[in-house]
Amino acid sequence: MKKPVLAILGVIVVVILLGVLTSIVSYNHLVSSSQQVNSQWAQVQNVYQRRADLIPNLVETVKGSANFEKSTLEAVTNARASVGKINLDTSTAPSDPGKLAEFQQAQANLTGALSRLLVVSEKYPDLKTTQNFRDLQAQIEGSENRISVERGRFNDAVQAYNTSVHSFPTAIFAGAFGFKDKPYFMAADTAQAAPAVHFDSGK
Amino acid sequence: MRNEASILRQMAGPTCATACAGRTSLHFKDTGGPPIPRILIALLFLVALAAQAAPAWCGEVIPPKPVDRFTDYANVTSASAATEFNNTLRSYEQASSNVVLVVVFPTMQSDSDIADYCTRVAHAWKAGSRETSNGVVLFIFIRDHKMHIATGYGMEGALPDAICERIIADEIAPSFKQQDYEDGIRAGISGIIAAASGDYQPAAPVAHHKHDPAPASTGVLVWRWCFCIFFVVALLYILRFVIGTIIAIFANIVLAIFYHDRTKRTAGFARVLMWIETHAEVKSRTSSSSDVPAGSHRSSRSSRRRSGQSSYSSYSGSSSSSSFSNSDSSSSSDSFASGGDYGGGGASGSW
Repeated sequence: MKKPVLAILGVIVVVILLGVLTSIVSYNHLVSSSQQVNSQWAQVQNVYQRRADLIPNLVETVKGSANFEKSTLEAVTNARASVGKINLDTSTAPSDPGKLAEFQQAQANLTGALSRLLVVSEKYPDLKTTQNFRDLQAQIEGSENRISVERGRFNDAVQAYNTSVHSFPTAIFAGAFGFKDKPYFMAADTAQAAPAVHFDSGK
Repeated sequence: MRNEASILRQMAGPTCATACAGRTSLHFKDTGGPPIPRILIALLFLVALAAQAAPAWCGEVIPPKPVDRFTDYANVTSASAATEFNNTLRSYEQASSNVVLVVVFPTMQSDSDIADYCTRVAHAWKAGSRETSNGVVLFIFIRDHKMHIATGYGMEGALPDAICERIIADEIAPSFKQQDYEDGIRAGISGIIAAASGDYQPAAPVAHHKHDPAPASTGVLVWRWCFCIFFVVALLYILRFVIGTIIAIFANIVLAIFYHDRTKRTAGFARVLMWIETHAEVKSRTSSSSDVPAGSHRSSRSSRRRSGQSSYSSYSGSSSSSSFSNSDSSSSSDSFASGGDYGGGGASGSW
């Protein structure tokens, strides 16, 4: 008589215990992965800012070179200005896909203008061999590498977060605590724009 | 009739309270139950799997972490030169704590850009300390005629991209063009060390060492779990008391109402009173049977600790590079710090 009752009691206790523990663990997991996304977003902003900071220096250096193509320089300056106009919160990752897409578009324009400038500079051997320009070129390439690394890690963080928002035990609590999907960086636009610039200036 | 009453009285005791509680919550579980969640779980698992689709660079090979500071997989250096490079790099590491690795590969085992690939490899190897990420890795791909210097977050200040580019183009590439790999590597190593010592500041804190937050130490974890378990146990005791009492009273009232026989009904009410009177006794008796949940806590806690340990031990990973021939196997006693993060700093070059 007593044994089955004890067994049932045990099972119930274990089930309730598991439920409560799961909720605690899921909630903490959601909070930490959401924070991970935010810190990675700050990192993305950081490397984009690094690139933007290089541009005035680059423009000054290139201006010094005799009769450098004005349109290329202006494209870079304008793209830099339009990036500066976009106000995104640096501390929390954007939750609105439209805003992220706008930010990404502006940054992609700047990437295109910059890579065009670097390609055009091939036509100016006196500019290309100066130490100043070489350093700047290395720094811009390094910035682009950092951007691609940090964007990739941002997407990884968002993927981990979105996966936990949608996977089973956490999904119950995600809805209740108001955790929503976060948007990714999309590769398509930039990937299509970059080669077009190369072909343009190649002829 | 007396017999029946005594049975009922027994039922009204602790057993009834717990059994009723058990039945009701089991009932909830059944109706809440099997068909829908199972499909949901399956679907969500599929979603999770689809979301984890393989990244674009899945075809590439991340080579195993080298055992020593200088590793030549392409056999372009002599054994004596390899020992010399190793000694230089190790003594620099002892003096400055900066970890500098030089790895020579025959070819790049990836289709992606050299900077992307080398950053991924360096980030996987994690050369450098966890706090400052003070690692530098010089990758050389002989057949591709390409090389890359990857700097950890903590070395980006000492070795900016422009300096890395100069070291590659001005120090290493000229010797490499004449197939003089040993001289090129020697010049590269001394260039990296000179540049890194130029603004040498021991253990400079890293401003943006944000991702990969250090996992809480095991002590903190154990305490946190102890607290959780204590909290849950306390909650369960209260819940058991409340639910047991409510259900027992309810059951007794229902019993009493549905007995049409007046005498039996009064007996029913009497039983409620009796049960309430004896409840203190009930509580003391049921609390003695609480070994089951306590045991399960213990086991879950210890399994947690065990899994924590295993994840820690996997950190120190398998660093054996058996498939490649390590040119310097004699001095692999001390290994370099491996906790550094790499964010794409550095420069690439060709010859």
